[in-house]
Amino acid sequence: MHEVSIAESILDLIERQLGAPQALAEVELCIGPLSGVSAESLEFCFATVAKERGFGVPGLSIQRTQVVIHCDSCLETYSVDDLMSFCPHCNSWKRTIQSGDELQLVSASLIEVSHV
Amino acid sequence: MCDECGCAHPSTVFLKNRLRKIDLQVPVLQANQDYAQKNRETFSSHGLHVINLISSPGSGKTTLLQAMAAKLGAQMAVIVGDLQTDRDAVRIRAAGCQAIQIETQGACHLDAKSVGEQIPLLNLSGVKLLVIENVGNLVCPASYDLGEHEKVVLLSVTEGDDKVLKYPSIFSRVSTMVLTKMDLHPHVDFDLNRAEMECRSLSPEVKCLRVSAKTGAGMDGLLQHWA
Repeated sequence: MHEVSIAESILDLIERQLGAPQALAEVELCIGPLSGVSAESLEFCFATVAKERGFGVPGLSIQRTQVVIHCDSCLETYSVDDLMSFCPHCNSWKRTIQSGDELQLVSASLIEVSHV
Repeated sequence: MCDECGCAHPSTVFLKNRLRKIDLQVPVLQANQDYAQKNRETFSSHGLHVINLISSPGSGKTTLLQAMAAKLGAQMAVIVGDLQTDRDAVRIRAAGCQAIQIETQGACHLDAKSVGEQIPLLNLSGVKLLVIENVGNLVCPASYDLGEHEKVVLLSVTEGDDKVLKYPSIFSRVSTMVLTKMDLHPHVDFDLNRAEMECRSLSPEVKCLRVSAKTGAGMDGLLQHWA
């Protein structure tokens, strides 16, 4: 599985934005069922990789999207979690996938320590 | 000195943590996509057609490339990824075309940067088709654009006809699916039409081909498809 490389890519993007590693409270992602990335595996390894690289122990907030499908037979649009089922409206297999491969870094929350 | 952050403040007593949220909205694999775009431009400047060849281990990628190399010779070049050993590159070179091996040292997929580093090592004069044989894996390579013009997936008839919907992230991104080891089809219960119908349900425009690299059946159609 390649979720460690995915975790490294996320932290590379954040580090490029910040200039250097900094303690993070939370990282927000959007992952689709067709991204090829397992959200569970990423949750398992993310904090460990982040800690090793000096980003503290951030939580991961994952927004899971569905696959959006256009039925080429009845022309309805519907959303599913997996692709095992027929069109719920007309039972057709003829379909065009419109989205579901998202793998997006949405935001990062930094912990800023200041003296009062 | 403050023990907490090392600043000149005399105490750590009155520290306050604040959260600052930064909106990023960027693809996680943006850096890979940037490298892939550079590769695509390089490929186009050399007039190459580039295929990213993906399948599970042992479905016949290298055997198919050997059969293609025997027909195309110097018109084809191959970059091949494996966790370890240069066995595949040796086989492909022996079959008649240039091949460069990337040993990923454990990584389960090729990325655009590692492929881009190999391009200057190829002699591209006279080469029309560049095949990037990915690491044998139906999951991870799907996420990484290498700058190819098309993703091609192989599915051997010995693997089972139920694999397409089990691995939708790759089968929804392919332009060609090649069913391989067709010489073994009489001995296995592989429903060819089911596999092709399910692949079309994920990629409506997919071209489906049936090939035996061992007997040569279907090879002419495959080569014409990429001619």
